[in-house]
Amino acid sequence: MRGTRTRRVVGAVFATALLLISGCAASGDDARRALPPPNREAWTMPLDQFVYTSGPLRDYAEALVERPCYAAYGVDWDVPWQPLDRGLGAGFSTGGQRLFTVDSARRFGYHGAPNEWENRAAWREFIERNEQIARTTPHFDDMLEDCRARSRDALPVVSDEVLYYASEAAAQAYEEALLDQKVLSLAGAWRQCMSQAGYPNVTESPELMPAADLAEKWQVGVPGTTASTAEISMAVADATCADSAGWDEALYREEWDRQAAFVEANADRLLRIRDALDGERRMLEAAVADNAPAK
Amino acid sequence: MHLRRGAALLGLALAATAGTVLFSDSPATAAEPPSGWDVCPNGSVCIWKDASFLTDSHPYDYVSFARYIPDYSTWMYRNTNIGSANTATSIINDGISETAYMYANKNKRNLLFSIPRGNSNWALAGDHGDNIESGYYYTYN
Repeated sequence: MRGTRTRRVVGAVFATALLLISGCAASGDDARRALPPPNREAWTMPLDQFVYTSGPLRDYAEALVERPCYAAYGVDWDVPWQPLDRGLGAGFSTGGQRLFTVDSARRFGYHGAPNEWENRAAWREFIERNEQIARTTPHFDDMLEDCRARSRDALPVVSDEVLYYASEAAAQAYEEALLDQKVLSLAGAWRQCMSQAGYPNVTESPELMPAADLAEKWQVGVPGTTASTAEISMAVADATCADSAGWDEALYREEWDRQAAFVEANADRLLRIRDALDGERRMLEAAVADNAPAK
Repeated sequence: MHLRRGAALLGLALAATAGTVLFSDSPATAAEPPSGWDVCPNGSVCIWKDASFLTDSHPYDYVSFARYIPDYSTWMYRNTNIGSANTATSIINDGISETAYMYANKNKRNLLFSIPRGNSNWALAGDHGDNIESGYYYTYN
């Protein structure tokens, strides 16, 4: 009996292991098939599809759902029509990373492309009006907390795992790629190229450009500002040298490889996360369809 | 950096609507410490140096923005000399209308994560922790 039981246990363990292995293989295959084609200009990455990008859609859907709540307090929450697919715009990759290419440098310097979408001005007015309402309406805090809680009940947000798992892995892959020996060595070629282009005093790595004093002077991260001629000249030299020195390509490949390996190793979890992201997007789109004003 | 100063003033204005307690240190007679949600001004993103919405055990020692901060290295946690760049471990988005985007580098470079309004993270993990250098609400991103 002992022998029979042992064989049964061994058999069950073996069968379970086979199931797990075949399941993992299927998930790995699914994840591999889901990888987008590499595109350095667009900085496409394997983890892009697993990163939370529904923020702007959620903001719109929640604002619409909150409108009757604010109305009950006597506050006009006049949400303008917005497209469903508004995101971070042409200045960012699908995964939310800021794009910096020779073309973008020529047009926007280090500032990056502005985010344009249909009826953007009306949304900005809505946001600024809300700030004004918050400043001038007695007991607005209570209204905000009440209405926000109601919309969150109606449109539950995904778990922290879904919000952060892929973005944390992407951040780690990027940090590691920056420290790759090949990437580090090519920064030297980039500096030499920059020197030849008339910029002998640059940062250690293209990653750190522009230097803090120039970023401050050019107001690089300040909304509403645009690039000067001097900024564009340096940015174009920077992007051109990062390309010709091979630094951009090496960084892209190193980051891609790390992300692809992570996707394969964590396929089951990532595919569940993608399902959750898809489910949330469908829920938010339905809320918009039910509540949106006419275009 | 006049716009950043403008954002700070707006933050102060929003804070004023939330009550004067925001401008004082922890009440001496408080039975329980306030939560991060209690102290973060409505309409703002707040960060703290440590987990659980504290900076060296103090809930009121946060850095907040009502629109954006392009470079956290120019901001200290309230009531401290502790720089806020690459030190944040917990975060709350107590915003009115929008998701916020938090970056590993100044001037919205290298996205770490986005955080919907009404959300918090009491202990930023892995590369998300001690790594924030700039942050923006969607409209200003």
